[in-house]
Amino acid sequence: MRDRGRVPDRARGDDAAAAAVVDDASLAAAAAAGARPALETLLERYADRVHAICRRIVVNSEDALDATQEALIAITRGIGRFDGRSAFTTWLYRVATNAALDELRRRSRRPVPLDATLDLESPSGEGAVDARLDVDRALAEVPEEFRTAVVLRDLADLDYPEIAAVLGVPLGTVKSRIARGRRALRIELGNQSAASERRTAQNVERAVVERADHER
Amino acid sequence: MADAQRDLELAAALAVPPLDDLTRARLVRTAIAEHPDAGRPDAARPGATRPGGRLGAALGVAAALVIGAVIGTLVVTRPDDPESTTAARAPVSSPAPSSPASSSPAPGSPADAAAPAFEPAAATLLGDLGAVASASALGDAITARLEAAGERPAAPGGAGTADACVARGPAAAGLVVISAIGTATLGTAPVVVLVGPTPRGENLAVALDPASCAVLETVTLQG
Repeated sequence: MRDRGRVPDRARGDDAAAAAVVDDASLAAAAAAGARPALETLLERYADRVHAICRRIVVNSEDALDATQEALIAITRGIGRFDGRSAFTTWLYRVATNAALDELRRRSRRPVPLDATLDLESPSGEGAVDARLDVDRALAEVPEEFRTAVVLRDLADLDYPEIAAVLGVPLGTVKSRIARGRRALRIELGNQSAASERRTAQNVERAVVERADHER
Repeated sequence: MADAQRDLELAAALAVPPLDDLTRARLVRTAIAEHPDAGRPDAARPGATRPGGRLGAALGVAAALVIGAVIGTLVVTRPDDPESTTAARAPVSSPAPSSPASSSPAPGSPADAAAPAFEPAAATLLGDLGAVASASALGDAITARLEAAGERPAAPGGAGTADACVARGPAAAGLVVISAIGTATLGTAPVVVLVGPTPRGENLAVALDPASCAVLETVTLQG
């Protein structure tokens, strides 16, 4: 787990950090037995990660929040059936991924133009905002099955067998989807970066013209 | 090596900022409201019928009788202990502040069948807190009893491990450790009361169904 939302996870060897908190397996067992405080702790611990996965699979921020909510509800309703045969995080990411894919399917039934699904109304000119929009635009151009595999590998940090388990596809398919998804994403990010530079140049040019008009 | 570097670059590009606290709390609260217990307006109230209906209630009464028997045994077997009357009224002996990871049941397994027994150790025995009408009243009773007892730890060992709820370990109640144990009647329902810190640092009292060990009510203690 490499991103900012990382949480201590004993299963990944982060023993020092995990020692300070109750581990996932114990909390999951307690939650499965009906302990609401344990479930609440788990949800609070993983809400950011669930949201991150949904955000990158769904791409649109509002839809991602809806998918996150659906995922957390699904976890609440399904925790009693979690049998501990897989890591809690693997089960959690499967739920999150399914919620995000369900949200995509719901959205596909709504006749909405692609640009309207992205957060393009944000003002340009801010570097961070432009970079975020570039990532969203690039992700939106990557086929869903490739995008999902890349998100689970490069954002959720799952290994190939875990991704195969989450997506229910063979290992070779996972490797292929990740390779092709990364390639597509890099190409799109390059394109979006070039497009962003063009937009920035146009904004500067427009500002210079407006200022000249104003001074005249 | 070059591939690994590209992976990190993609990971950095894909990183998503954390949710703001309000949004996260709202999402969690909404999800928790979908909990099977939370869905029923009377679920958290004392005397509410748990899944299992009358059978559950009957098991609860049976468990209360077992607890009574344990209490009686402690009274009989600890006549030399000046605190025995109070201590023996607690349903179980003290649990250990040991690692929850090692003491709680494996996910998906029947906790009281497959899980290792919870190690008894020092904790405050609250005894029977009597009948209380609400969770807040239960919190007040616990606070008063803790102050009266000076949070004096009880002796380790004893028949307390017979209590299934304590044997499940603190994590089963959402606690990091169990610092105090007692019983009470919440409304009309007999409950086991476990007290301890949560992973978030709150000092929480948890009222459990003696039969199923399901959480009936929680109350945050002050101080």
